[in-house]
Amino acid sequence: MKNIFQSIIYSLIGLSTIGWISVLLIIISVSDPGPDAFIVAFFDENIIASENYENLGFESFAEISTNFFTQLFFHMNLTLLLFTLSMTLIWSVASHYLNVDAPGKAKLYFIHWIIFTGAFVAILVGIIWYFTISSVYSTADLIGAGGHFWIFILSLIIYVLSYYVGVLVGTARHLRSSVLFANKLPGGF
Amino acid sequence: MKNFIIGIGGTGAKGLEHLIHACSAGLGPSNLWAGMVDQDEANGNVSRTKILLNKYINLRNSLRDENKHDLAKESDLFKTNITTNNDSVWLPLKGADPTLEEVISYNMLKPEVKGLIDCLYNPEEKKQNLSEGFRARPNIGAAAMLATTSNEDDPFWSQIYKAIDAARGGEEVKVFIISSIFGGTGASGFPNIARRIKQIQREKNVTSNFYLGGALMLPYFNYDVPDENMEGELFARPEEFLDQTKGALEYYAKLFEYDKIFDQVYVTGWDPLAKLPNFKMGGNLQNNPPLFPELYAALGALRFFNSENKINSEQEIFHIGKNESENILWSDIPNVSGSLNSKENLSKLIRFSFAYNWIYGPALTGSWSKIKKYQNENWFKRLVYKYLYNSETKNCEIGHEHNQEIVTLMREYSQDILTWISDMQYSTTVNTEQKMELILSDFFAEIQPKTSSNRILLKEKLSSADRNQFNKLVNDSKNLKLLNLMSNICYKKINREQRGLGVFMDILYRACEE
Repeated sequence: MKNIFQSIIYSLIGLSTIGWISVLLIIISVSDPGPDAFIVAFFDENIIASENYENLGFESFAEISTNFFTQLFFHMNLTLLLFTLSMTLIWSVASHYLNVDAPGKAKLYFIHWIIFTGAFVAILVGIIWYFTISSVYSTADLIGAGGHFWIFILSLIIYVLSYYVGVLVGTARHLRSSVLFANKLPGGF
Repeated sequence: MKNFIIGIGGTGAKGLEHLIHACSAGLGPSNLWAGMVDQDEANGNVSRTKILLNKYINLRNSLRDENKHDLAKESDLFKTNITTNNDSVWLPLKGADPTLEEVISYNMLKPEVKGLIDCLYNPEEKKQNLSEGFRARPNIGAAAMLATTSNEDDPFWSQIYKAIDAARGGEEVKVFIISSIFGGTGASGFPNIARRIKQIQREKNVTSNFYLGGALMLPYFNYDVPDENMEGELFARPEEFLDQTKGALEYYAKLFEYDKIFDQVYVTGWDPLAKLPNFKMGGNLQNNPPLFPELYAALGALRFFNSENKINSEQEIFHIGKNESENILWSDIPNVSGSLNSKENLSKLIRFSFAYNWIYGPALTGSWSKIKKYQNENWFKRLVYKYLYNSETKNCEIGHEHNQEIVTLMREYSQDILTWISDMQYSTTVNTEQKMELILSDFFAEIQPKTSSNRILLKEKLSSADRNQFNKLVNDSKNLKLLNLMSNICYKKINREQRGLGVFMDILYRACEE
């Protein structure tokens, strides 16, 4: 049990090396960044298609950014963060129970890790799609075609990297050969 | 403190076998000199213990070397520094094929003394070749033992003299004798050697710091003697064991009443008697299995040596038995002291032996080109690579000859432990109503009841189904799996004093506990 707690702590530390970006985005979005914020300008330029809000009678994205950030963007990042956190911790805890009962067996679990990671990425994509492409959030209509691409890429980078660093350092020592490059960590770590 | 143990006869040798295994599990004192007494030098039981003793000493010396491979002082594995003479067995009668007639120079005796000898010994006994022991004739053994000198030049007796001298110098010295009360060598050697030791102590005027203990085995086994070709032969007859024991107990009762020979005596018997499947008169074919009551004798010795054992001025006689039922359980094994739990340590040793023999030993065996596939695994990197890495050659030296010798020797020793516990469990209860389920051995050992030398055949390799039964290996509530062992060896803290292969061996041993 002590080793599992250690894994959880390592996972959280690993996760936070990249995951702080997500936390920052969540804090900014829930507290409404305001029309003059850098993030609003960035979204206006790269994510949002101007014809979409002009069709609705607005002159700039800043006029309707509150709804976009405090609802869609906040909910999406919170969901992605909680999901990433859950998956990282699930792997780190489960890695202590996978049956590595002899030398050389850990690498057989690489396939398990790949499948688990694949499932994680697929669900991650599904969550982003749910928030940005489906009709659940009306403000999603503001996002342009290029904006969808950037949201997908940036979200995947932030959350997949967070997950990877989390499992890299949080996987049980005896199962490290199953996680890409984890067996390069020092033996005593 | 100095400790000495003497195993007399076949039972004494087998008692020592149990004791050596218990010492490898950390139940022994910090140092111990071990010796055996048997006229039947080629006796299978004595040879087996002699080989085991040498293996223990070699392995311990290799793994307790501060410069190369060190388990460190805190480690329980091979804790006891056992030493012995160049030849660990003392033959009371030296020379080729001695007979009692020759030993007592019968032909040169006066006619009246000859007449006395004729009353005490029949012609067969006088002419019996004694190179294969005293054949359950303590009257022969006693005469033979008393006829030999116990001088200081003899390597065996010199140890006793040194012990008594050490006691005179203020050091606490404990000597313990294990023997059977029935049979030949043991029955004759136990009182005579004990009395001789006491006599030396008195001659040297040592009145304190010297303690003598003994374990007396009452009948605990029998066997069927084949009808053919036994006419005129002298051999141990099981039907005589009880009568012999009765006579011997009467003798000891008188001896102990008038003279305090022992400080503590541990008496053990067994009912119903274990039934040995093979009868052999003596020699290398007499290779009897280890039996559970002998473990009591060994643990009695370890209790006697333990620093928590307070020895009174009165002679104490302890006896022990198992629970009333027909089942022999872990709870029937007594602890050595309040802080040394026999069950915990022995079960740890058994798990260690299994894991080493089939799981980790094979992974560490061979050249570097074969072993290097594990170099990125945490257990190997942390416990082996780092501690066997030579910074000059920039190589991990696990594949080097001297390291491979230790790896192989430990595997052999692990097999001895597994064979010992499996054989003891099988042979103590076979053909009786009793049951012993200390361990589950069916999945890794095959029993060949009709052979005496290799009764237990360990499997070369285990299937994954066999490996999965590891959690049932020791019949306790721990449910320790091989997965837990792998996890434990990756996380157990390494002692700073540990070196080389001592790191891996101790961590694997410690990993075998929850």
